[in-house]
Amino acid sequence: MAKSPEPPNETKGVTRRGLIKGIASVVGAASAGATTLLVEARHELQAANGSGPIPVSVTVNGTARTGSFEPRTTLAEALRDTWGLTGTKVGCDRGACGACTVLLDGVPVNSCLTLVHDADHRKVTTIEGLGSPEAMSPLQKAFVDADALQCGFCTPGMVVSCSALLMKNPKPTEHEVRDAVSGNLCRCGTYTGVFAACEAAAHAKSEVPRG
Amino acid sequence: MADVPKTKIEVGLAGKTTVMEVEIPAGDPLPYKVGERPITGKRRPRLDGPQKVTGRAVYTHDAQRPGMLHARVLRSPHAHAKIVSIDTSALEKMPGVVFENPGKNTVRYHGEAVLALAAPTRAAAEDALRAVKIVYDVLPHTVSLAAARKEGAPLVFQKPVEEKHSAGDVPGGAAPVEQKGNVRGPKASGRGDVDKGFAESDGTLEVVTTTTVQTHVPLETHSLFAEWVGDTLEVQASTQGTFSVRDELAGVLKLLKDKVNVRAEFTGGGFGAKFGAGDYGVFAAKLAKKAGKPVLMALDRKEEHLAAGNRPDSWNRVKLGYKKDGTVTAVDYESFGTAGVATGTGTGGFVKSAYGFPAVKVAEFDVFTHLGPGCAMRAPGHPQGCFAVETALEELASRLGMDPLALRLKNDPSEVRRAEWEIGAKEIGWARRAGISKANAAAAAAGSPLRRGLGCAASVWYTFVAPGSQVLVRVHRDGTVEVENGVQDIGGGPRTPIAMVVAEELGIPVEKIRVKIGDSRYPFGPASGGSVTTGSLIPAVRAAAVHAREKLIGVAAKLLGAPAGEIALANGVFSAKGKSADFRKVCSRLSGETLVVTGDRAKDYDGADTRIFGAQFAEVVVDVETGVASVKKVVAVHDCGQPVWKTGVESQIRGGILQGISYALFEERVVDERSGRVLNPNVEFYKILGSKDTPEIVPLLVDHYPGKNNAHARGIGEPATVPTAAAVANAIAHATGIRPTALPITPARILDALGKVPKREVRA
Repeated sequence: MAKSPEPPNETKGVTRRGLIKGIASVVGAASAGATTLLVEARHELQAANGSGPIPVSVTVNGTARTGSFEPRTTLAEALRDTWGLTGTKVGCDRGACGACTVLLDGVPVNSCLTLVHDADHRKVTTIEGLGSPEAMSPLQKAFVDADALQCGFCTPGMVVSCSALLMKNPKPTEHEVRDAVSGNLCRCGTYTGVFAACEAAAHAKSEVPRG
Repeated sequence: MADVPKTKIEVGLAGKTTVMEVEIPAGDPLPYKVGERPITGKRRPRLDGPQKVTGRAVYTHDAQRPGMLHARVLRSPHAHAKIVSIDTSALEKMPGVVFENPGKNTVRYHGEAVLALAAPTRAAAEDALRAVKIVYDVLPHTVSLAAARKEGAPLVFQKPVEEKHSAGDVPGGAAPVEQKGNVRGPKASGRGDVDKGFAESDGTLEVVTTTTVQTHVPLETHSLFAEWVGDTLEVQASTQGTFSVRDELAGVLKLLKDKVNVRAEFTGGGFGAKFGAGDYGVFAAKLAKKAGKPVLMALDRKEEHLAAGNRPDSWNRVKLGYKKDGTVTAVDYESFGTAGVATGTGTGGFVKSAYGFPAVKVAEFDVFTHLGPGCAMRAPGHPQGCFAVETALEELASRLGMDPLALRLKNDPSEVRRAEWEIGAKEIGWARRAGISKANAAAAAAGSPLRRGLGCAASVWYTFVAPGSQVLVRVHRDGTVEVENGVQDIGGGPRTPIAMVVAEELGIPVEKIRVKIGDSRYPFGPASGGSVTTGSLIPAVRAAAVHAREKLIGVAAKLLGAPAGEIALANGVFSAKGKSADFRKVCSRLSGETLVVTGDRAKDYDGADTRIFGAQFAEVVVDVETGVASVKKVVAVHDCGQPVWKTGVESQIRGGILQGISYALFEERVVDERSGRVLNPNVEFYKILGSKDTPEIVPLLVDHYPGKNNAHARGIGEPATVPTAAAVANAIAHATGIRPTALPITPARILDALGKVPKREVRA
């Protein structure tokens, strides 16, 4: 399942992928430093020719959120640092661990690889929008029942990815669940619980995001 | 001093228990009797699950305060260099930026901290990092185990190095150890007469195995939030030890312990790397002081790989002396490993403890390299040692034409482990093994690429106890119950078993117990390392709960007009002589506003074995054309004494196994020898196991009463990960006929061993 942050946005020309492309030619691919370039690229470019903060407006979990952000600001940073929605976690800040997964217009994306300006005038659903401790979604409840979590740090991203799957495919096979969370790393080793939780939730009522 | 009266208790495997006489420490409850407990030992949902699945659990990464600064560390790009100059003048012009320059003049590894700074946003801190100008004089480095051992290799340290210990390490005395060049050792240990053992043997066998550096990769990177309130340092830390962070900060900053408070309600994984405050934590506290503002220091993924700890690599030589019937008579064992600039690479624990080998001689050597420090990681030294020894046993079985399991039973005197072998063999279908071998031969003859294999390996760990653990129970007049202990939740989920034990003793539902943990202001709790949490804490929880129950029974006795000895407490109701009062009513008659009792972790009973035994079986399928090995099923049979919260125990076992498979097949830190830099400090190119690599897992527990404490409690975190890689390797050996001696067992290594990698012509 595609989880890359597609940048179909026409309102703003800056995407993180574009930033990275732009900087790649500048810095080349020095062997040892190559792995660090992705993370540093947006800061390099910002320093070189970045503008100041630009206003943005995003509907997050059904609520209109606004703010002014430098072009390099990621959706994850905006959600967490500015709008206080810390349920979305940043595990690697380069789209490799999936802890930051949110729904952008219903599609799961890595919010650390999505610039907040790419979410302008779009709808974002975070883990907080799927349920609360007092009113968990059927999937969230199934996660608890299957003990599909240990430390819990990857769990919000896991739940969002599974939630997106169930919205699209209410009765997934285990193979499809494995595919859906293949971009979500869990170091505690809760995958078998995640598979069980999705199966249980598929037999409960369908997932409806509140965002 | 008068003789302490002994008490007879039942110990051993259920159904085969024996009576042992032990001294029950004064004030400690009698241990659980063999038989039924109404609440503990069962499965149930995790109490803090709803917070975690809804994003409401607040981790250190999530700390936010008005005016909070974000800290970053400037790190060396070089493996070894003199710092000629550090120009921080640009920082003076940056608004809101503070920095801390400890004035280092040498860096010894790629990623070593040089200075730290804090700025109003993380992005501003990144900008500030780039504004610092450092001139390095690059020095020669050595970054591989083999190169660093050679005479004339660039020295990592000019002076002898003292060993450092964290709560995750195997405790033990630190005898003085010789250091020559970059090699520190041997650290010698063992038992029995090895010369005699070899003299009596019918033959000897030697294998050499290697393992690579494994990085912990907790999903939440190391992080610490620091805020000064007056002269008190308030800290939130992503840690495995609230108290070890407090003690380190108090020590380094020269503060009294009551001036440092550490909270750690939720920690996003640790696996051995998160015990102290770390240099990053000390930086955070100093920057917060300097700025007069709260500071959050969260390492990024790259720093996590470079500088926040790892499982050292290893080179292990095992020489077995054996009898023709498969009995091992002696083992000569040697290990070399590099923890970069740190010590503690020994892998000899397993060979000394796992089996009944009569004579074992161990020599362990640390080799210093210009790389980030290793540290404790889930069962330090043991997965490496297990892989070495279990590979040798597998080779011996093959040489003698014995069934590998039969050979292990020849050398395994542990009653618990023998039961585990039997249960596991049945569950995995070990009897199929000969049939699978035939089917593999048929597949080869038919030109089909898939081969199946079964393998097994033993686990051993130890019951360590954190002395001084104490639990406080408050019962309020409205019938509410709170339990306090400073322990942290790194994923094991201690809230749930704590509540279960208290609920059981007080006869009220688990949900009614409010468990407050993760704060150094609560009574002392263990650091979560070495599988000590459950074994240290649960007996203290039970003691506190039993004391609370006794007091409440006293109140009920008055209320019901019956002697305390006749009061029964069940399902939240106190009753005697046909009269009864519910829990709340009895609490309303408390003489004070709140009943406060504590329970201490009494010392372990003498006598019983402190080792924890386990056995695992793996089934794999190997594609001999692509070299890809995939694990289909793992059966894990473990001893967790009397488990308190079975769901959590099973989750821990699953996690240990998945980390073990990841270690066996995928994880490999890659270092460029020429530059001395780590090439894959991330999770794209440092591959860890994911959803598609996850096999079926069957966790099973033996019903064991170890007889060490009042709850027969012991840990499971380490035992579950010790044997997995070895069991997988042995299953691959069965499937393919090759003998994997190097982890990770990558497709390239499998194809190479199968002779499927064409030899390249080397041109002059």
